[in-house]
Amino acid sequence: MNTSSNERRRLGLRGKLILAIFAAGSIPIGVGLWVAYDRGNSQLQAVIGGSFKALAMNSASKVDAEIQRVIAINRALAVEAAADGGLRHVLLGAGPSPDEPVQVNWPAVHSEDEADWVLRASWVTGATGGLFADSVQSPTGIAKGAAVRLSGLSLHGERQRFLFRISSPIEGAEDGALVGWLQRDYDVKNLLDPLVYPVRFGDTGHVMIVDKLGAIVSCPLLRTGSTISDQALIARVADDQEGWITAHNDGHGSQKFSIIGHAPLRGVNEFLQPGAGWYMFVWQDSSEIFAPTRSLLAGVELAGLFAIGLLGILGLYASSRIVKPIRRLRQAAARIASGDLDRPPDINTGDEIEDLAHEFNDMREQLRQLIGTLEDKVEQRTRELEETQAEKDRIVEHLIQTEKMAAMGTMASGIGHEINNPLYAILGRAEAIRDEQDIDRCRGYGKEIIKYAKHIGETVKDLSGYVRPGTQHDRELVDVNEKLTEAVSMVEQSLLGNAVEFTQRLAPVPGIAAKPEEIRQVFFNVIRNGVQAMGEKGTVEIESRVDDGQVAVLIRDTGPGISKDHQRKIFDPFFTTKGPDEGEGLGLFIVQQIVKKYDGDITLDSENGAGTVFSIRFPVGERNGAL
Amino acid sequence: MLHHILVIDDEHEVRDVIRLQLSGTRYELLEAEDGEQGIELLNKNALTVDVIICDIRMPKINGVEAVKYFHQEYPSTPVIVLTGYPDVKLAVEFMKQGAVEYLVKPVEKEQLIDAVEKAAAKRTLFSGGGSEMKP
Repeated sequence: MNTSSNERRRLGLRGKLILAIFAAGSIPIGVGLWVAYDRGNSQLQAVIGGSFKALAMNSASKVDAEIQRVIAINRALAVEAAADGGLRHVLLGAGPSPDEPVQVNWPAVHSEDEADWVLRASWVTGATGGLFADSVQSPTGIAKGAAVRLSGLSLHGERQRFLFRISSPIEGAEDGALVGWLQRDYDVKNLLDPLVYPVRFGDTGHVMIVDKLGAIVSCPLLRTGSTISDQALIARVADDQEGWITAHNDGHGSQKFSIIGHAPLRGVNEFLQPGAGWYMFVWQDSSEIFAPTRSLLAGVELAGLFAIGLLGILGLYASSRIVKPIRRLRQAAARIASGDLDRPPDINTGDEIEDLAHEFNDMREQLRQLIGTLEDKVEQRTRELEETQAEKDRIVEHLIQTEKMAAMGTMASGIGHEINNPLYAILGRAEAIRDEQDIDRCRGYGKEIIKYAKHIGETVKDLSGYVRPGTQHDRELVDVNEKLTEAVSMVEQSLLGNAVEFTQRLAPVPGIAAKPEEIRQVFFNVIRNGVQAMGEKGTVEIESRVDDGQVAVLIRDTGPGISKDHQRKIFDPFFTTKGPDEGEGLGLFIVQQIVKKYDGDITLDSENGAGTVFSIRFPVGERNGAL
Repeated sequence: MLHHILVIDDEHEVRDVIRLQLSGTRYELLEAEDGEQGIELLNKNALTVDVIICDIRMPKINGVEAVKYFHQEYPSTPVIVLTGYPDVKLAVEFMKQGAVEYLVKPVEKEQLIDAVEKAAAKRTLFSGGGSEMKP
């Protein structure tokens, strides 16, 4: 595994498996736990709310009963007052003027100094007075009319006590006409607190009475007369139907989530001014209320964590079971990649991975066989190629020899000229000797015959060097200039006229490692090709030089040039533009084969109508290596 | 009347041999070293040249061109090609150009005289006159 793929592989198979197991397990667990918590929480809230509602109703009925009891006492007293002749006389004599209210302390109450007294004042007023004159500003105002009326809270006296007043009509015994009012002020705390305070549950649970405007009537925690400022909360609990609500306000200065049970004080509210009302309010600190919920949540969380932990362990185990054999498989693959095809992967998991390992092993076996076969094939093919190459070399060698002989055939007439002329001279002199009587003349002819015979011998000696097969020569250091001169001479001999001019600019060049007759053949073929292209009229420039560490030969003719199309084919075997009797088209092919054989290079540069330059390059031969 | 044989060959030893072989005949030799010289000589001695003996490989104007010229300008003057090239194709080519004989060196004396005589006879035939050759 290379570095780049390691960088790319941020999360391994094991990591992915664990992640997958976590994802697959945690999500349902999380959802399940959340649903369980939510349902548990809702049900718990319903149970608590229901309990609070019941408690509110229960407490409300107790307060209602107490108020009803007090009202009943007042009614009884009012009847008693109506029966009191003196009191009735005072009340009736007072007249209807509101400016002169009649007020009689009746019956006498002296409870001002008694902190725990419930009844703070009791008096009687006329039918049209008293009620208004004594009215105090209360959040709920003062009841009016002929029925019993209950006033709201009012702050009263120096002791800052909160009172409420019950006004009971005093009616004439005979005609039932209203003659006055029995007015009695009750201390709210002393009357109601004994009913409200004892109702406690838990550490903070309690009941309280609140009026419709949010004023605290009785509460063990909040001062009577203080006000709950959250009118929205008050609007929800000041309901004429009992119930429970949840709110983010407990009415005690906290914004915590709360459950509040509530119930109207029906027994009170029927005597209050319309629009006013007292309500029982059951509250407990949310931290206490939700302690079971939190406990439930904690349990659920613990269970969840435990389940997730278990999943993690399971994931680890499962991934080990899967990843370990895969790693072994990978190691086996790496061994194959490094060329070790002999060891099978050792995996016995009894599952799909083992199946995969078996398949993998089959592949390894096939690969091993295939590679074995392939090696055999490569070896066989190499052998065939070597044989083909050897055959090709033989054919090329044969072609070179054939071409050489063909070239020699072309040359034969020129050579014949070289031999036949002196031979003719010999013949002519021999005939002269035959017919001549003068011995001195005969001697003269004889001398000339000897001279011409020697000349023939020299010519034949020169010729034999060319005719010998190339295979008889090993590579040696060949003087390129010498072979160029010989080639030019051979071409010249094959020409009928002398319309071709040969110019040679031969610089001293190092030898090349080759068979000399093959190098001469290269030059001969190229020069003859140029001469033929020129129609045996024109100039052939021959140049040799050292160029870029190589021996370079340039052969330039003034012929018609070679078209681009023909340039591509010119080294192909049997390609010729000459007539059927002028060659097989092997000359330049042979040239290229010989040049290649000696690691040389032949290129040509030609323009139509501007002649052709062949450039032949050979590497410089090393004396030691060449011989 | 003079009877000339025009010998055109760049090699003097060849001209020497021809002279040797034709010595003793009634012909006198006019010798040229190349085609150009040969044409000049013929132009000057057209009436007396009975036969032309011409080599092929020569400087300036070679045998092929020379023979072509002779055939065009002097069609009645027979030309014998005497060459070192034993080439049948070349021989056929020369015959087409108007040569009457194609001899390959070395050629024996009798053979050469025979060829010259036959050629001269043709010349006689063409021109309606001539002389008999005496060996």
